[in-house]
Amino acid sequence: MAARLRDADRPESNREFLERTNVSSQIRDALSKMIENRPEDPVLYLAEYFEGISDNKPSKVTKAYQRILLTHYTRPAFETNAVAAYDTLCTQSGIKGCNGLTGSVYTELLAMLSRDISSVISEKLLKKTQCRDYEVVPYDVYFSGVLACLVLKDYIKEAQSLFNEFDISKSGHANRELCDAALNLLDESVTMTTSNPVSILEAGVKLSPDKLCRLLSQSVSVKQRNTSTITWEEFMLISADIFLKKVPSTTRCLKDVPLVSSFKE
Amino acid sequence: MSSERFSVSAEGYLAKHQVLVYLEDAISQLLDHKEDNPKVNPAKFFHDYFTSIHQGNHTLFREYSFIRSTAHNRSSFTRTFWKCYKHIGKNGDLLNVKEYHSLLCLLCPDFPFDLVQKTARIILMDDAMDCLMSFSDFLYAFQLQFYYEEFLQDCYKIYEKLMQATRSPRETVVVPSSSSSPRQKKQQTPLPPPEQSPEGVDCLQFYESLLQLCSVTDCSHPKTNSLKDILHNSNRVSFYGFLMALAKNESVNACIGVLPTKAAIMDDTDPEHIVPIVTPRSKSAKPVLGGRTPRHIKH
Repeated sequence: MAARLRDADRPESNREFLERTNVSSQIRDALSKMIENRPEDPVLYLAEYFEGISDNKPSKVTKAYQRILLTHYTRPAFETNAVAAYDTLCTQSGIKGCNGLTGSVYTELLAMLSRDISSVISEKLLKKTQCRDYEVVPYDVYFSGVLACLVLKDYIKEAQSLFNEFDISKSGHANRELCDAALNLLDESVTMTTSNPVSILEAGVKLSPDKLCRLLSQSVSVKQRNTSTITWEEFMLISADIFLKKVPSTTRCLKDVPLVSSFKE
Repeated sequence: MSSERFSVSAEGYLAKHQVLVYLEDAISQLLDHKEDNPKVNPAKFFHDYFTSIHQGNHTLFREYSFIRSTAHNRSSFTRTFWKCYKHIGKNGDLLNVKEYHSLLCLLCPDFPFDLVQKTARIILMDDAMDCLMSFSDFLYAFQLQFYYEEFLQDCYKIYEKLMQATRSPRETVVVPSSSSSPRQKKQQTPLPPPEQSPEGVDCLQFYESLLQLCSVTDCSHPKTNSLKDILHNSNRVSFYGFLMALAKNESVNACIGVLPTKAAIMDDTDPEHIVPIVTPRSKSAKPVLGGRTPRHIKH
C-alpha cells in the first residue's frame, strides 16, 4: 500500500482512477438503492447491480424486470420501483418522438415475470392482462398487470403450502374431498367480495380457521373416506382459476380509454 | 424473519450482512488489479467479485485476516478446504497437525498454526501433537473451531470459572450437601486434590451459563437447541468432550450449512469439484493398515 502511494510518477492515483471510472458514484448509487429496498441477499443484489451496468447492456425489459423484483410488492419502495421501471420501458430508442410503453414490450415483461409459473396458468393470466402489440399501455394498466403477476406467484406458493397440509402422507396426493371443500369455500368467499366493503370482512370470517375446520371435518365424515385423490397440478390449476376469475381483463378496460397512441399521432 | 430487515436501521442492515466489509475489499482488490490491468472495467470486475462471494469461492489464496473477517468467509473457506482435500479423506490417510497446517497454508499462505493446534486439541483432547487424525474428524473439528472461534473462547472462560468453583476448597465443602444431590455418582473423597477432581463440570450448570452467553453475545454461536441436546445427555462434561460433541453434531453442521453430513463427505458427485492440489507430503505418508477403506470403489 505504502509503496503504491509513494510512487509519484504513476499515471494516475487511485482516487483519480476511481473518479474517472465512475466507481464512486456507482457504489453510492448501489448502496442507496440497497438501503431503500433492503434485498434479502445484498451480495447477490450487488452482483446483479454491477452486471446491469457493466458493458453488456441488458435490454430495457430485463432492466425493468430487475427493478420490479428489487423489493416485495407490499413494501412502500415497490411503487417507486414500478414507476422507474415504467419510465425505463417507455424510452423508445428507434422511433423518434414516440414515447410510451407499447403492448409488445409490456407483454414481454409480463412473460418474464410469469416465467416460473406453470405455463398453463401463465397463459391464462397473459390472455387476461396482455394488450395488443400496437397499443400504448397506460401506467395503471401496466401496474395492475405487473401486480397481478406478482400476487399470483405468492398465491400459488400459498396454495402449495395449503396442499402440503392436506397431503398427509407426503405422497403428492391429497384427499379429493378435503381439497374440493376448501377450494369451494375459497371460491365462494372470493366471489362474494364485490362492491360492498363489508363483504370482504364476511369473506374473512368465512375463511377463519374454525369455520374451515368444521367444514373439513364435515366433508370427511359425510363421504366416508373416499379414496379418490388429487395431485398438486390439479389442485394448482383449480386454485389458479379461482384467482384468475378476479383479475380484470385489460382488453375490456382499455376499450373505455381512448387509445393513447392515436392521441399522440 | 423476512420482514426483520426492514425494521432495523440502514447501518444495522449493512452491518448485519457485512456489506461494507465486502465493498471495501472489492475496491481495494480493484485497485490492486488495476496495477496490472489498467484497462479493467470496474463494473465487470465488481460483478465477478460479488458473484464469487455469492457462490462462496472467493476465499482461495486470500490473506488470513480477510478469510476470518466474516462468518460467510469462514464457512466458504471451510468448504474450499473440504473440496480441495477430500481425496485425502477418500484414501483414508491420517495426518498430523503440522501436515494439516501445511495443507491449509496452500490455500491461505499466512494461516496461523495456533488455530490448527486448537483444532487438534478438540480431536485429541490433549497436547499430543504427533497423533494422527482422520480427515473427516479434522474437517468437522476445524469447522467448529474456525467458525465459532470467539464463541469457543467465551465457552472456555465460562468452563474455567465453573471449574475453579468446583476446585476451590470452600466450594467442595458445600457441594455434597446442595448441588450434587441430583447426581448418582458417589463422592469418593470429600476433598479431592485438584488433579483428581471430578471430570469436567456439571452439564446443567454449564448449559445455563451458555444460554446466558448466547443471549448477550454478538458473535455467531450454535443454536441453543443443539447445545441442549448435547448437554442434556450426561451429567458431567469436560471442555474438549463438549467441543467434540459439538463438532460431531449434525444439526450444528447443518446450521453452518456448507459441509454435507458425515456420511456424504466422501461423495465425489459434486460437479464443481476443484482439481486436487498436490499435497506437499509424500515421504511422511503413513498409510494405515486396517484403517478406513474408501467408500466408493469405481469400476
